[in-house]
Amino acid sequence: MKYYIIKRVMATFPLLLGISFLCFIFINLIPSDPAEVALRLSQVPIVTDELLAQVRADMGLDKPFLMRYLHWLGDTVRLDFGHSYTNPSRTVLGELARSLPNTLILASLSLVLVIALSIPIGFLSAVYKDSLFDRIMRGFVFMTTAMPSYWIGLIFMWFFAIKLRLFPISGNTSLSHFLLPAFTVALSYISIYIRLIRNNMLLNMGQDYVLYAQVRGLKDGMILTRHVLKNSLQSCITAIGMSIPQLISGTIVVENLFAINGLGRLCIASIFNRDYPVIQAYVLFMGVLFILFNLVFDIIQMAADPRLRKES
Amino acid sequence: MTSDNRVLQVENLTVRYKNRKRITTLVDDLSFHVDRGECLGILGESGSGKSMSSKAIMGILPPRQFDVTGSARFHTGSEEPTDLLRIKKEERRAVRGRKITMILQNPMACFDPLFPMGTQMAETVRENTETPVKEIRGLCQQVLKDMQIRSPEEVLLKYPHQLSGGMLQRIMIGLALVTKPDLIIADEPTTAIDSITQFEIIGELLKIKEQGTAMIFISHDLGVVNRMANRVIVMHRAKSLQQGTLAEIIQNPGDEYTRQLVNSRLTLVDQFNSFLREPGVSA
Ligand SMILES: Nc1ncnc2c1ncn2[C@@H]1O[C@H](COP(=O)(O)OP(=O)(O)OP(=O)(O)O)[C@@H](O)[C@H]1O
Ligand SMILES: [Mg+2]
Repeated sequence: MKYYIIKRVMATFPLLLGISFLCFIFINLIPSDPAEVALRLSQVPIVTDELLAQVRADMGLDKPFLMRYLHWLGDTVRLDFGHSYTNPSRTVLGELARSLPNTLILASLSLVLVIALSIPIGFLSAVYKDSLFDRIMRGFVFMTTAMPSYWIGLIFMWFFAIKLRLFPISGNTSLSHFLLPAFTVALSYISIYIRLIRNNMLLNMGQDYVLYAQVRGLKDGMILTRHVLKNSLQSCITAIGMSIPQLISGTIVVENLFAINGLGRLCIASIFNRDYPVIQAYVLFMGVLFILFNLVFDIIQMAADPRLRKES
Repeated sequence: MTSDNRVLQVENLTVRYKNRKRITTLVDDLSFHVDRGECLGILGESGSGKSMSSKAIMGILPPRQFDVTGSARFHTGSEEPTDLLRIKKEERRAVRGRKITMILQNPMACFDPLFPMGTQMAETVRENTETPVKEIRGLCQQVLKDMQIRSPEEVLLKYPHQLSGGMLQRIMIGLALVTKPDLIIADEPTTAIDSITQFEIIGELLKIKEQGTAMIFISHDLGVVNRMANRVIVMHRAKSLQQGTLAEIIQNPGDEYTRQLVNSRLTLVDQFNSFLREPGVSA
């Protein structure tokens, strides 16, 4: 177990390095000249070739590619992502830090909704397979997987915020502002996990250990919750863990729809403004997030399974 | 011809498996009875429906896939017999695990992989006996000791995958005995156990039988069936071919299949015995 964790953590470093390298290449593929952009933004009246060369040298752009990568990597590790192009007075890190809380609120609210809804619904659908409830839920799963979130978001906005006036339409000043968008983000995950948990439950219910639990005279409810549900959830720990970075990155559309000042909105605004350092930092952040959550939840899944966990 | 000692009377037990439009009959019109202190052996080739019939009586076949008809009247004390195939949920809890227990065929798959053995044994004991909470742990250890398992304290902390098939099988036998049931259904209970331990476990089961517990004993092993069973049913392709004492069946196999079965088993036993008797081989 210990050995596995160490191995797994070690294997993460090359991955992180790979992600950062891709991220760096990606920004270098963009056709505009960073020196020119920087000059334009500092409002130098006449851009001469000498001036350009001067700035290139200052920014280290005349150095070989690998040198530049290592230099950038060094800055990045120290969390120095440089300054925003559109707003040179602000650091990229500051911009990210400013937008992160709203996205985190949105994502965690979605996660709570996903867990609170999909586990009981998946459980009940499996226990009452083919009942009216199960059939309605199957219809719901089928429908929501086919509907894109921007469309669902608009429908929600129209129905709950405009027609029923239950929620504010947009903004991010109170918790109720977050409810509709969180539900919009959560919806497709809810259907995925309802199906996953239902199928896992049904698979487990046919196993011999369930038959023997009945033979042992255990109550049906106890067999289902203590044994079948636990086994079913056990095999989706990684999947559920991985939905956390997915939720964080998946808020782009919804944040823009509901005008929430989060990471997703920052990302879209930066793309429109060609604010490359911000885009780069965002992409890197998401990549790192995915890798770290994968690592953490792999280890948790491992620790939760006595067959994989070895005493050390 | 019901006697006062009747424990289980099975009549016309039929199990059908429903798979979409196709229906297969896995047990076809099986009837038998078991009395107090008696052991009924079930012999038969692989896939003949031995396990299916016992699971049907136990009521653990998912009704969505399996269609069970017939009756299995279970006599408890002086009360009216209850039909196990039509028993209500609340009543079944008082019977299953307490008055009828079963030892399933493949012990490796029968315990929840996520819980240590101690927890699973304790929940069984708690559910079916009135043992005070403080004494449950000790009782579980005693069960393991009775089943010839060494260092029971450690075994209780182990997870199912850390134990051998034979150990798990013995734990199942131990758990089946702990509630002192009226009927034990044992589905090939000694297949994973070495012959010396098997000898001792069979001794344990015989003791239980003498105390009046009825038994249904499924096995391929004629030797073991001979020691355990008073009467024997031979099953073949979902049907019962013959019932009687083992001696009757061996002397007078009524049909071709039974003859083959008896012959092949007897040759095997003969070969084994002569092998042991051969000079030069220390037995
Ligand atoms: N879960 C199941 N679903 C459908 N059919 C099954 C299932 N389990 C067993 N069967 C079928 O039921 C028939 C009887 O199986 P059963 O397990 O009762 O055989 P058995 O006599 O116990 O054999 P063995 O000696 O190998 O244990 C077989 O033809 C088998 O294919
Ligand atoms: Mg069998």
